[in-house]
Amino acid sequence: MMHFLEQPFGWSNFFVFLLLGIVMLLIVLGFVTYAIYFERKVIGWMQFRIGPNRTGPLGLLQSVADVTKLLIKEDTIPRKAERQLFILAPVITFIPSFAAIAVLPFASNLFFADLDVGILYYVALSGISTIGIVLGGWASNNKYALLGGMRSAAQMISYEVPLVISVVGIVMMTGTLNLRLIVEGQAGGFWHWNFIPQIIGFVVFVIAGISELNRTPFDLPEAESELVAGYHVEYSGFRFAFFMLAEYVYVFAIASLTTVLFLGGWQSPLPVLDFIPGIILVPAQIFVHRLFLLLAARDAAAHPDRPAHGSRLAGAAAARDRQHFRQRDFNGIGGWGRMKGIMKGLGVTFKAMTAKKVTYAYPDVPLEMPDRFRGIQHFEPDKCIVCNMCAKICPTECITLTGKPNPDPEKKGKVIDTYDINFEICILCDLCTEVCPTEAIVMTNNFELSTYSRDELFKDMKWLTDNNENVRKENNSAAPKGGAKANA
Amino acid sequence: MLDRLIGFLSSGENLVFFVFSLVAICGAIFMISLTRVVHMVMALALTFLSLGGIYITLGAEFVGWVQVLIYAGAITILMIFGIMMTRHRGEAETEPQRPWHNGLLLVGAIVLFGILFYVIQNATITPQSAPVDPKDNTLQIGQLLFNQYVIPFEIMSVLLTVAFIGAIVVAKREED
Amino acid sequence: MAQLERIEPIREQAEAEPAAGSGQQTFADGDISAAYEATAGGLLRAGPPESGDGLRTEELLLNVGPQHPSTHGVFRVIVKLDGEVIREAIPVMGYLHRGTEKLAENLNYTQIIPYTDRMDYVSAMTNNYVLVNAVEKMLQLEIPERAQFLRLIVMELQRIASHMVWWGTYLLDIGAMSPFLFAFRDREIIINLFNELCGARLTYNYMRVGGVKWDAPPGWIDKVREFIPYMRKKLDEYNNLVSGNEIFLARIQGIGKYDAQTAISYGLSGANLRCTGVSWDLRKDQPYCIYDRFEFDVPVGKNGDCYDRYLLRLEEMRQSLRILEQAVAQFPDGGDIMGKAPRVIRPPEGEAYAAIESPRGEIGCYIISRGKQEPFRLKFRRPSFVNLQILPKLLVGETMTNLITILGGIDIVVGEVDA
Ligand code: SF4
Ligand code: SF4
Repeated sequence: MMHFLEQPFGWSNFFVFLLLGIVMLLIVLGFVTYAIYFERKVIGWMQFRIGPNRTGPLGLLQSVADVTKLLIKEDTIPRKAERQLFILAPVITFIPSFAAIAVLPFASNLFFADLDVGILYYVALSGISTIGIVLGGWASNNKYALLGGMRSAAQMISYEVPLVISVVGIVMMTGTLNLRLIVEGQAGGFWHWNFIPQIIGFVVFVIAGISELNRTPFDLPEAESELVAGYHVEYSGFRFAFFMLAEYVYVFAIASLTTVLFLGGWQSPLPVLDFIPGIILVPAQIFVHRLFLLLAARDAAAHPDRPAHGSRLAGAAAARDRQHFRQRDFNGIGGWGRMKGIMKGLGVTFKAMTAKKVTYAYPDVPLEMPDRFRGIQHFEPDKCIVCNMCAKICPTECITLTGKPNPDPEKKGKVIDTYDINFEICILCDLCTEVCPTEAIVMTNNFELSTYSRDELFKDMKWLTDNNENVRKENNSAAPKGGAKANA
Repeated sequence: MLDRLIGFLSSGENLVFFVFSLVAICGAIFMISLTRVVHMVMALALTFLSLGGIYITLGAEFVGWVQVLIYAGAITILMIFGIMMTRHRGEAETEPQRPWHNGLLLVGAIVLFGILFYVIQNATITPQSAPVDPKDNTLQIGQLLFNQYVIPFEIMSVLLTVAFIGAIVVAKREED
Repeated sequence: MAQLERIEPIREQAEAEPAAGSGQQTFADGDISAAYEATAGGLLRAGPPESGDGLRTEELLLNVGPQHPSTHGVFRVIVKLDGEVIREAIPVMGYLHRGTEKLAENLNYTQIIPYTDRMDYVSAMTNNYVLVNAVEKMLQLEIPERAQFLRLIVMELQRIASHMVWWGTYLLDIGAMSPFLFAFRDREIIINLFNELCGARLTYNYMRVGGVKWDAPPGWIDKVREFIPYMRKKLDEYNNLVSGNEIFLARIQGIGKYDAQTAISYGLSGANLRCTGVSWDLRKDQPYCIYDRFEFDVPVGKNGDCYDRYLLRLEEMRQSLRILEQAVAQFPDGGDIMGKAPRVIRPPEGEAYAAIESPRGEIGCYIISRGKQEPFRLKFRRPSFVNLQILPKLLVGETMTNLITILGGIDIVVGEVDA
């Protein structure tokens, strides 16, 4: 880095770097896109769902569609928000996240900056991102966002320290802060990799890393069930996209960092595999690690999360909380017994991944309803004797009907003239069909009523008569009337 | 004069230094003149960042990134945290205008600048005998700390530990 | 009745010294919004608490709800936060108020039944039952055997379905997403059973004064029979998935604790009461329908915290399965599903109160009849509403996170809170 600063600016230099930067950006964006896709798929499988499957083949374009949507969405800034800071916050969060990638070495001769203080650089920059989160929370002028921001700050203070300390062992072993040299020190098979001598450091690093990423079970700042969405509750459109992007870039960065620090970087796990170019190994490892991140965190924590202590972050209590957090971590590692419940839960989750999916392909495949299903009514004017029973029994008074004298002068009585049901208020309670003595009004199995205007929910006799598909066969179990008659 | 300026600026290092110092000074000025506390902290963070940048251009990478980590990261967040948790209304207190006060300040500032400029211009700065090798300065810092300056270093760490425990005690008492 | 005697002394004691500071008083009379303005204003004016060192943190007045994902609908709590610690909490309800009781005064009894579906919409069958039961009490109707069994079976299925919704959403509140889908996958089976039986998935309108509307379709009882062992297996799975999870335990053990006396003086019922060790279940203590013919246990807790309530509800599902198993075995082959109810239901002048054990506690229906087709006055004792009254007391001193844990643990359905 220094020698580039010392050199006078040269155009060729500049373009090489610009090009590499763009390539890197595309790689990272691609990673983010498919990390999200992958995450959604896996979570879907855990929950008997299919996951994204509509946009593109296998839903592969889902994230692309989502991002496009976010980018072209209206950009809203709350009127009472602190405007400048509100705009600045996603920027402050995003820039360091991307800058932090610069120090990650991808192969023995492919790296963007060979910084002597690589680890420090990463940690310093990721700290700045937190400022963005806190500011975003504050600038939104929303109390939930504020709480989210505060939690984020407290959490960062709590976890940054274990994160750094967990790496100290490696730094002492290798005698350098330079990430490239750290990888070089791990050459010669996986038994030389750092995670074996530094197993505690490794575990602490992974846990603190998950917390750095604000992912479950450490998603205190977002906590969608209590803080709604935390710091980015007021953000929409591309500003929100930037927060998301920063989060996933950090996922990439932490996964790569774990690979570099503990899992041998581009060094092949077995000497026999040396022929595989390192450039393949790193992504492969990142992928594996990413999978791990996903599962560990998503045991999602598919299971309950957010240590209760995590939220007692108020004010000066931060220091105390740090102890709580640390305690938790080490308990987690130390007492296998305490992990048993989580492991059991994981087992269930894994089993669920292969279980039968329950997703309906609804609009494509119509839903079959049982015969008794109470759908939209079908009306047969010929049968109606205008007895008015249905209108009287209707608890919401949504039936209006009028009769007219029978056009055939020979017959007495009336025939129906108009018959309207207001489906804005009809509760499909089945009472009208229950009382109708001639089964002039009966239920069908159709239930799709959505319209663009409420006025269209007002259905007249013609519409009800035409609604003649899937008419319910058994329209009334005879018993209620029979019983009633016996008494009458 | 102009030649020297162009010569100064055509070196990348000097240019970067120039930018960083400008930003640092701006940050400091904003820090004083802004009215909202959070904005002030942001300005301060900017100053911290550019100071870190200056350290790095000077070849002190370790110090530079530690500066960013501790000051721009942790300390700033702590400050924002504190500000959010506490009351900060009634910011827009306007002091009574005293024009002669401002005039006096201006004169003072100009005099101070003059003195500094004069002194710096006349000073002869002898370059260090062995220029620090920027490649290995982390190692050198470590060696110095644990050999030559080990006693001050240890005393510092004891002091910090005491302060740390003290802070926890204060916080705990506050809680009960 | 043994249990009743056991509680009675505590009840008397509780009456002697009414619970202080319950949120109820605030809203006891007059305009709710006025009461709310007054209290919220009081909150706003209240200064920060005294602190020894003169350090002061800003207190935050936060509206949790009415559009908050974890308040299960449109329920709102105004909390005063000091950092993340709640200093004061005021529940505000009424956003889903539909005037069910007033509307009922202009409807005949059959027409009220669909309205009860919409009170506790997670457990419509029990609501149906409490209304028809009260009317039947006034008419002194004989209910045919087959109808009794059908009623019992649907009510117990409903209890399981309702607890499943609770289980899923509670864990969703606490932050786990998967259990919700686990629960809903299995609840779907019950819903489909109901759909086959009465043609609706949520608002069943199934019971009628004197019996039930539909007979079980062919093969339906067998499906229920198959469901029982399936559900047993699933309950074990639920337990494995969540109940032992350390993070989960850390979040709910010892949270929202109260003792039996407090519970009784606040009038709590259901799992909220039983978690304190009081064995009080109307199915056992004041048997209705044909519950006295079946063998089942009433599980009780002992700590009175959220975790006990959690375990209780899981255990109640198991007990419901036990009842179902016996009921399905004894299900009569034939018979009427409607008793000799008059065509026009006109209960004699008088009053009646019927109370049953809904999944949320004691749901009661009080009817005053003037001998007309419509009730003169109808009043529901809605367990969600009553159970909710303890919330402000439980919240003080807890963190924001625990607000969700406690509120979820009470298990409210806003439709029933506001009726
Ligand atoms: S289904 Fe019920 S609400 Fe709808 S029209 Fe018939 S009686 Fe009225
Ligand atoms: S109850 Fe049947 S016959 Fe009587 S008016 Fe209504 S639709 Fe016509």
